[in-house]
Amino acid sequence: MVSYISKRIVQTAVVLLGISLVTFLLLQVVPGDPVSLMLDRRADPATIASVRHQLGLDVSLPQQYLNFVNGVIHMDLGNSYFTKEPVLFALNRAFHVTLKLASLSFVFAVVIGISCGMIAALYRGKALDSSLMTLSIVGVSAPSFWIAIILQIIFGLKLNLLPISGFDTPAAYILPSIALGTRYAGSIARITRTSMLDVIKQDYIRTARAKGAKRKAVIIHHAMKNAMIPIITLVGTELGNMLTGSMLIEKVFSIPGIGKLAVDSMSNRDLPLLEGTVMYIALVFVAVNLLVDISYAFIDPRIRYGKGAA
Amino acid sequence: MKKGLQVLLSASLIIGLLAGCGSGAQTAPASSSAGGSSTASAGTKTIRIAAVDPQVPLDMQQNTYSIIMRLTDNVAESLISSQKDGSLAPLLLDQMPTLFEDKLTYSFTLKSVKFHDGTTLASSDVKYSLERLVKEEKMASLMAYVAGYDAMESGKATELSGIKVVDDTHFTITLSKPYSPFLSVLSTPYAAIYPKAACEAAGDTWGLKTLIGTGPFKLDSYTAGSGAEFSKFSDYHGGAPKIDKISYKFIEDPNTQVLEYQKGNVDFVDLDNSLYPVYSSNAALKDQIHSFQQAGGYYFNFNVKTIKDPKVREAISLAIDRKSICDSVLHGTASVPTSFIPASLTGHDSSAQAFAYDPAKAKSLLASAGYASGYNLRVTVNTKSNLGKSIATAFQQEAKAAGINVTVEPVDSAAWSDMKKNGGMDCSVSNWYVDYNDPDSMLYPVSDNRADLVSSFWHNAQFKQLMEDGVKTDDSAARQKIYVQAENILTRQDFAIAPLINETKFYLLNPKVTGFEINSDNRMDFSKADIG
Repeated sequence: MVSYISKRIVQTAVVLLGISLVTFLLLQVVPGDPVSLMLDRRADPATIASVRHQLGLDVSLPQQYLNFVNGVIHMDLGNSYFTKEPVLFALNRAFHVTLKLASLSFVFAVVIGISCGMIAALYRGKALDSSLMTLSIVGVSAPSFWIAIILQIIFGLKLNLLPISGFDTPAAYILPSIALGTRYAGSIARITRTSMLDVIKQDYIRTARAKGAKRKAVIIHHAMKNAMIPIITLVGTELGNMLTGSMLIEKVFSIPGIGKLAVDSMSNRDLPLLEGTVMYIALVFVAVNLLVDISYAFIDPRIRYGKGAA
Repeated sequence: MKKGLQVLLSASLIIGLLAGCGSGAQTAPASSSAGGSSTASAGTKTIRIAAVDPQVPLDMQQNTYSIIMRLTDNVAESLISSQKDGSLAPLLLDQMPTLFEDKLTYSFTLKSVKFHDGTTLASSDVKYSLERLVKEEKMASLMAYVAGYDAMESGKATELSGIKVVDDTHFTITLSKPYSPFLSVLSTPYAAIYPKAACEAAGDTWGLKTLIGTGPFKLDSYTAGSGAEFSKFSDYHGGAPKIDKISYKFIEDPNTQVLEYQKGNVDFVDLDNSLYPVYSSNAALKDQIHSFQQAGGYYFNFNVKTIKDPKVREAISLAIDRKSICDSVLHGTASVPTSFIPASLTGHDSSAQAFAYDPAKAKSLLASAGYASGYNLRVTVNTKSNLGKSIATAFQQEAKAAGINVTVEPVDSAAWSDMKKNGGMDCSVSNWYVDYNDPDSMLYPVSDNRADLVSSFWHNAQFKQLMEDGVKTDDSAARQKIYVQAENILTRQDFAIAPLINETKFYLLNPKVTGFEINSDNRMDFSKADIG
């Protein structure tokens, strides 16, 4: 296991290096010069040249990239062109907000999704199953910003129960977490139902029941555990998505998270901030996938990593 | 049973969602309770404003966004202020500056004014601030007519030789050549006066953690992505403000902003044009909607390097059904312009007719220009401007009648800026609002005697001469004649641009707030505001 994790960490470093290179190259191709944008409408060539020099944009592209990689190695992603704030500070601030939102949405999505999926599977073909699956389709297909607006109007304005926007009090966490988590809850419910139905049909479940095990115990100890692999794969990916921010939800609820930071840095061509945000997003996805892969071994003893693994 | 439960659940879901949808526009505002709570809860009078997060330092010398101006206007002041009628008045000065006979040198006398940090405003602070404007580069060319500007810009000098400090309260500014809008320039937020010592000490944190000025309110805190807090400056030279605090809450989404207003959580929000029809028909809100006209508007900006023939540009102008755009896209809240220079400025031609819509004539002009079988036009829009996108889409349909096939090209702000500079646009939906109340501010973006002429690449020797003549004289009648002629060349002779619409801007204001104004420069003044 240790050698497997070590190998994955090395792979992670290579992936991040590749992503940073691709991001850097793409930013050279897309139109939009950050200096022109910074200087706005009254910039003359001499001023542009002077600012390019200050920002280190007047050296060759390979040198610029090497400077960036060198900064990353030394934990220095540079400063934002516009706010002058160190990129790590901005990422750290946005990460804390996104982590809070993602955690709550994740808990909401997992609890609601898995519960609904299991209930639907256990009541397969019944009204409850159809109703829950209808709701899950609504959850998956309704745009999250639309759900957000509906929640704002009903619970924020009409019933006056919860804050309409912001993310500074526990009450303010509720609506954005539900709005963001609804879609994921829908897809988790559907995969849980399918996976549970596959497992419930297996011989060992029938055997357990035939041996007199109680239905509840069979579901919890046998069916659920064996149905978890596809669910965890999906949940892991979705956790990655949540941790990398949701631009729309963050915009509607005015939450200063990673999604907003990424979009703002892109539209400003704030290169250090954009590179930092992309690296963060890549790191989160790679880390979450690694955790998901490792978790398989704990859930299913047949899965082994390292030497001699099948 | 199965079907019954399913139907019940589905029905409850749909009813819940429809109830949510329908409630938005008709819900009565809770602003009365909000106004009351903001005034009385802690014994302080607070005005709460919803605004878009500026994301950058609150310093107009570094960033020119109007959303920053809204935040800094009540903190930092310029030497001169522009009044609601467009006239100028001394703000930090004893009286309006005196112009010497050479028509180049202005003499200034400062009032006794305190900065928020308790220091007294001195001539050295003025010199520092105006030189900082040049050093910060963004709006440096506002000082282009001050003697010594070229030397400072080229790095040969570290000061503007034209600014001479006589003593703590007296100084002179000498121009390199006559420039009649100069005092107007000094009224812009870019020419804000900062305390030298505090500004230098703050370094890169200026506008982020520290912002000190002479205005009626002090910056208490500015938190990116969250909001900004201001408290009243009791020693304000214009008399202590009546309200104690201004609290900005950063809300990106215009819909959410209005919902917060309806709930009574904010006292002021801008009302997007697209939301105006919804809220203007809301009985509880319609009387709380206010409007103002900002000097400027939307126009088609032609790249004359790619659309070379003036006949083609004229045809495009004739193919625009401006009235229809005002009625449909802007729900009747905008007007068809008769002139690029707005009515509030010198140079507006009050006898001019509205720009015509004549697709038949447009077609005929295109035929005479060699495009009898139709003309393909790429119209670039900035994705940041919803209105720009809507105008371009409406024009796409209208232009078919004139045989013009329009492709709408949306690009983000960075690409927009780059393409403008590099000539990558053929035609763009642009907007322009004056920085100072002078026709020079309206026309300089299309004048090729300025460094920032980039997007049109249009040159007309007569226009250029008129622009130079216009800033040399301070005779109002002469300037009126000059700018009417210049604009005529621009919009009806060479068709370098085609004015589109003059929009009206709307905002919602808690009726308990009084004494608050937004002028035609889009500047908000809370110095006399109160909450009843």
